Amino acid sequence: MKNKKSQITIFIIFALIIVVLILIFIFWRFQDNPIVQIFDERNPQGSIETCTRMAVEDAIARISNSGADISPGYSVQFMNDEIVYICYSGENYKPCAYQRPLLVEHIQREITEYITPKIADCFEKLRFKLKESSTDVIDTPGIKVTTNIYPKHVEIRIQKDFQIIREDRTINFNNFKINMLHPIYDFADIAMEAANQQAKYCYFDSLGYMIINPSFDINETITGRSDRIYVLTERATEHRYQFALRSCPLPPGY
Amino acid sequence: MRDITKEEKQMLNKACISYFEIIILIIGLFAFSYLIYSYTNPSNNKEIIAEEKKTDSTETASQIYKTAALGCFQIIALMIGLLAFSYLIYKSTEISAAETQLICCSKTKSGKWCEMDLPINCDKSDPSYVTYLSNCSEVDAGWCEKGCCQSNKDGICNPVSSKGTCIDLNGTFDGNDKKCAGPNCRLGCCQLGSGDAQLTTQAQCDFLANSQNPTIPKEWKPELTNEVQCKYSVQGSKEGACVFYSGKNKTCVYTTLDDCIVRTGNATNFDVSGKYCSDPSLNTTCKAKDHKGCIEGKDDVYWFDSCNNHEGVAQDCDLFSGTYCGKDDSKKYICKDIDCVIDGVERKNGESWCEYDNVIGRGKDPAGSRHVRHVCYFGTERTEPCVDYRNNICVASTATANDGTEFSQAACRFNNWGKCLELNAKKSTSEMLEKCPKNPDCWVKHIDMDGSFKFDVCLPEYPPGFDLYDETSESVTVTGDSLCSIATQRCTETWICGIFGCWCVDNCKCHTDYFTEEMNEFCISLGDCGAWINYIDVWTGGGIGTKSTGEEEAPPNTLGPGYIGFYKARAGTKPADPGTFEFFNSINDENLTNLETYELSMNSSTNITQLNEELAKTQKEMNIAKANLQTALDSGDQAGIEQYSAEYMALEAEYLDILSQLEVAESTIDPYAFQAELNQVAGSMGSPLLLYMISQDNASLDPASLNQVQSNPTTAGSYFNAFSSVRAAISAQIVQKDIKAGGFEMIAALLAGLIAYIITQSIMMAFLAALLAYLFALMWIMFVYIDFHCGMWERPSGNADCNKCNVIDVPCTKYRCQSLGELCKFINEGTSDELCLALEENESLPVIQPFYSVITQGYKYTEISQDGFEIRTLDGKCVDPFKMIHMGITVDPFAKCRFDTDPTKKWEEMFYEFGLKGAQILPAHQLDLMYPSPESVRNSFAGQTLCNTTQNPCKEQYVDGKKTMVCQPCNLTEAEIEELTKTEIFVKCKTASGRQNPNPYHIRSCVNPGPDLTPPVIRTVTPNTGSYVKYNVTNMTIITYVDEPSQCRWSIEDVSFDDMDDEMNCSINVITDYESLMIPGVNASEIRVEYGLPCFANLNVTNSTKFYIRCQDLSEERNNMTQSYIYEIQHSQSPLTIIDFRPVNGQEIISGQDPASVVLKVETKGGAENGDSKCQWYDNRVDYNRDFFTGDYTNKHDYNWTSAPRGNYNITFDCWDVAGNEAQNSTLFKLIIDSMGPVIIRVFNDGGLRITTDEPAQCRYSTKKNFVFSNGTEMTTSDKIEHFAPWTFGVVYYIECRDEFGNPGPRIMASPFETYQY
Repeated sequence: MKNKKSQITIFIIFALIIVVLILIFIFWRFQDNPIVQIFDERNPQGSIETCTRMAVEDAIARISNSGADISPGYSVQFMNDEIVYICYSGENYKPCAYQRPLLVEHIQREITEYITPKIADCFEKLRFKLKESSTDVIDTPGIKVTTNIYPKHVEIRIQKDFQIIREDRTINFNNFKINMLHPIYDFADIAMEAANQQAKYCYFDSLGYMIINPSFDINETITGRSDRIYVLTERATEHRYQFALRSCPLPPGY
Repeated sequence: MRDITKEEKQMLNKACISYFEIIILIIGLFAFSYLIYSYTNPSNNKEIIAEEKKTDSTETASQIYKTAALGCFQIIALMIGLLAFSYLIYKSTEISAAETQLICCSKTKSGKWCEMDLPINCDKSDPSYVTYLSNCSEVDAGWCEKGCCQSNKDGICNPVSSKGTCIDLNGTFDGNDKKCAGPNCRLGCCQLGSGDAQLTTQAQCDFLANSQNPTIPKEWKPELTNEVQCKYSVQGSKEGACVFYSGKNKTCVYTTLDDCIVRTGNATNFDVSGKYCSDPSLNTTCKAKDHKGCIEGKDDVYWFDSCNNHEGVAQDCDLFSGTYCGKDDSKKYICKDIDCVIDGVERKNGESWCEYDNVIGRGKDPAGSRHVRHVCYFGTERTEPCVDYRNNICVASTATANDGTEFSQAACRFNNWGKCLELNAKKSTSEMLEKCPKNPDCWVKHIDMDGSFKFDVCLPEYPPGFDLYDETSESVTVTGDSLCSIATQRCTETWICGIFGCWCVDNCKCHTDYFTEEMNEFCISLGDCGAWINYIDVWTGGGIGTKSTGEEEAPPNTLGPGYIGFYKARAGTKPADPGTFEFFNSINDENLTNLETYELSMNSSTNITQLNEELAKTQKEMNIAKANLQTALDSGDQAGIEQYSAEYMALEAEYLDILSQLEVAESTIDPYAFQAELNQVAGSMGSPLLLYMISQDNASLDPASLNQVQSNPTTAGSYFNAFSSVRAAISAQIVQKDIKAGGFEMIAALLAGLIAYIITQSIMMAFLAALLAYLFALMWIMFVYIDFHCGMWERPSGNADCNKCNVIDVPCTKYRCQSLGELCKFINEGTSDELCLALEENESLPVIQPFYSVITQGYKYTEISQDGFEIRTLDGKCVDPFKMIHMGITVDPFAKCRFDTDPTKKWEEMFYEFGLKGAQILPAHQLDLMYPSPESVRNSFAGQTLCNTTQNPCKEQYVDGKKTMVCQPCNLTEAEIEELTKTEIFVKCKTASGRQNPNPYHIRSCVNPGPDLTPPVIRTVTPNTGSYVKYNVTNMTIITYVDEPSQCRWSIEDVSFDDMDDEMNCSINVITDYESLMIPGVNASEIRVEYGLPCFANLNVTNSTKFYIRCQDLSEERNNMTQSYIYEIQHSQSPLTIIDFRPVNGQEIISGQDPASVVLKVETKGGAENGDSKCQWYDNRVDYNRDFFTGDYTNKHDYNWTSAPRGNYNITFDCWDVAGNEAQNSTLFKLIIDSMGPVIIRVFNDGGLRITTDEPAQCRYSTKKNFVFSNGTEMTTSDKIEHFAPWTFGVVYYIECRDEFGNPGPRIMASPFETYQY
């Protein structure tokens, strides 16, 4: 009988361990990795800027890794990265067709869509912090975020009515403008130049381009399936951006 | 927090249900296990019994009920869990099966346009969002229509862009301008105030200027389209000291005037004298030469003052001499050496060179090899492998820099191997021999077996790589097989035999090693074919085979690793040749003169571009002079009339002169043809921009053109058409010689005479001997057929070398990995863990068994043992004659199998592959076998020399000093026939680990003896009955295939065989004819089933449409067909004609875009089916401009040619119908690209502001100088030449006109003044 009880106990323990493991897995699976955010209730604008900057950096890092998208669409897997085809030809011998025309505008939109909820969250957390420090906040719902990328820099504009009332003093924050130095525009420009050349001529002279524009390093890798992976690096900052092209592919023994 | 979408909610619910079900299942499993345990474990039972003794019966019952209830609950839970889990698996399978195919969505749910995705992810919220089954890059409709998309933000143009994305992102879309050739996308040089310049569109230039600093002056120069010239056209020395106060300190920034104004608001703060900020006269706080540093984009090391303003050059670096500003190890700024030293060789920055895995050229590139380009860039070497499968080759050449040093340039360029095979399809061999050597990607292989087997073939210098094993479809690529089979050839040796022995008189090398060596060299040049090595020098010989009709005469059917050095010595030189103008010529062989002429014209002063520019300039000056003259005439200004008329006449004379020069130039050279030709070669000049920069003085070519040097492989698919032509061309060369061989009987007779003369010294006796020899065949001719089979290169067995692919210098690819061994598998493709994995070796020997489920109905496998089996009918009899038996074998472990009739041969030596997939490693193989009747065997052998039976064996004799088996003529006895019809084949299989069955697997069968009582059967006739014949054709050849050796006849009346007059020419030799069809790679079994033995007839079809064919077999019974085979034809009622085509002859098409879209149309009439035909078009100037009109047989054909560059065209339309009627017509037209905007030639007051343009235009005006054309006020016009606007005194009008193609003309300013009436 003792033996039987101990076996039941072992079974129950096993079952419980499995259930707990599954619950942990489920919890982990649906949990967003939290972003460490810094807030300073004495400097709301600074807090928002810091918070936004982190979100933008994250967005740009994701885009730079995939070549165009936050969540990569039709892409090629290369060195464990999902890299979006900026220009793609599914047919052998044919020049590629653009997959992400207006790459600059596309990247702007991707960044905006990615950072808007995060910035809203930044405001929410700021409001919470301010209330904790007995500061009243009048926070009108709704937020408008605009992203503009330019040569060498990125500009984020946030329109949000946000009032802080502290010791009978009301401070209004309506427009936030954040500038960040980043060559994402220049990367997109080179990517489009490469895609334009490939779409027209099936050829892009990356070495020639580098010699004329020594600020950027272009590394081209042709995979066994005729995909071309370009890795762009800005020499001064070592910022990196990669994208994929597939133009005029040739089958084995074409 | 972001809202969860509906789809995500559904997914979440599904996931929760799944997890719940899994939990229930797991718990249930444990519970069920326990339950079983508790009821089955004897110790437990003992425990229950013991308990029963101790407790009363009620307690025991309660215990049992509890246990039972628990058990029931657990079983129910388990069942539910199992059901749920099964459902879950079912659902997931259902989804994966139905929806894993990627399709093209107009719009995805994630908001992306024209994206490949799963059907479930396509947005279907709008009816206009459709899905396409083809790849998105090929879809050109709806939201996925392709066109030019220009950004309204920065003006960048993206060609071939989808409409949906473009419009969604607020771009300007133009579906008619696929390649962004319109005026708004033209590139010019954008010079920004800071000293920077780059090629941009005009709109991008505005954007760049505004995004950096709106006050920075910018200049856009549309005429400057060369990137290098643009880049270096700006001298960035417009900076100076900008002095201002910061607090009490007088500080300074060294910058441009514009920036100074922005910073300080005043131009007076800018020192124009060019002094540095640290200059004592400026009295600033900045101290001179404080530290050194680099400036972005500049080569040199600069001094910086204490305010961090750059000053003069501290150290002069030069990018092209190999130094650039940078930090040394101690973090000091120096002119850093950016050249490279690679294996002791100094390479300059930007220099590139090629590296190869092994030998290259002369068709010797081994399987798996890849050309690699290396580049020295900023002091480091980078490796750039060219496109795999040798679709790209690395070519290199050296250029001389301005300082006289050599500069190596390498490029991966398109391998034009297909063109080599195409050259074999030329009308004459001499033409091929002339053109082939001009193409550095080709070479001529001359094969001569000392006789009629002699031919020349143009082969790829760098053979293409094949997909050595397609893991997805488990089939070796068809392309590889079909290409290799070009070298599968039969050599016929001719021997004269007499009582004194035999002499070889034709193709006497065919039975020697030389034949195999030469044919194998031919074979390996075609691609990864034949007996050759992989890139790490591992030899395999299984790709070739030889066999002879007389076994002893066979040349070696394998070559060993000893040949590696032999063939390597015949390889080409390194590096690969980039090609010259002759090379371009050889690609577009119809335009041989274009390039040379163009080169000359480029070097001379009168080139077409210049002439065109001069012509346009003169035309504009003429227009202005004409306008002035008109004004003078209107105003009665006599002096003006004289001046402007003289000016106009002079300009007109000049215009006509230029025009005539241009016509002369254009008649000799078409620059656009040149451009198109140049575009054939991918980067054959290395980095065109770089080359231009290092040797500007020597640049004989337009750098803009060089920048566009590229690959244009769009017609590569057409090479496939050439494959059959290669075979035909080789056959044509050999067959010509065979005709000569036809006179050997006479030679034999003469030889007999000669021998008689030597013996008797009597001319009379010699003549008599010769006559007797001729008449009674005392000497006879013996033909020995030697077949060479060229198949795909065989991968080495095993896995020993797989790991050699996993090196760092050249990345491993599927192709390289597969070339290393049968057990090498490329895994993790696309990840950072790509690996050539060695699969586990299986040391077992292959065990062969009958494939029981595969055998023709009515037959069975009998006498089955581990050594083989026999095929018999179900009642144990032999096979019926001419019956096709489909049979098979299974093999474990999986293996590739071959068979032969000689049991002593090894797998490598066996000639035949076991069925269509015999060369693949598979668990089973199937084969079709056909058995001739005994009588047909006798008929085939009777009177033939080829006779080797037990009763009459061949004998060994010395022929040409070599021991040879010679057979005698014989008529076969019944016993011999029975022996011959006992079919025995011996099978050997080889596993991926290279293991072979040591003893051949013996498959036996026999043919039913007895008289042949069945009449022959006509299996089919080609062309098929009911076919059309060409118009006015009087005779047509048909081929009738019968199932046994027969004599056939035809008639226009249905009469008996004997009454038919017209004899057909039938093949009767079942042995050699079937044998010759049994060429691996050719589906011999299908040929036998579908066709049989051919009989040729030449029908007179002038007045008849119905023909009757009957055959009689050659058996002793002479069985006749009792019913005729009815063969019918249909006549074409009229010739096929092209009744209309577009563009019409002489037409001038004007387009605003280059390249332009031209619609080609053809309409046909007549022929077999009322004009229904198929058509193609081709440009007579440029070889690769050709395509088929799409669609089935029809009488109207349209083709939208979207990429026609400007120029004169000579297009031929070629149509044909089902009967083979052909029609051809050509059209000459000119495509003019109008890239010039309209010029306003008159401006005057005519009741309002009236302007006249030199071509139809739309004009708009505004009072703002920099107005956007679309925002301007449109001027009224009735004819598009005269345009009107109100005459408003004091208002300044800025007017711009654009032609129908959107080309803008020069913008003018018009200021109406007050008019007075006198």
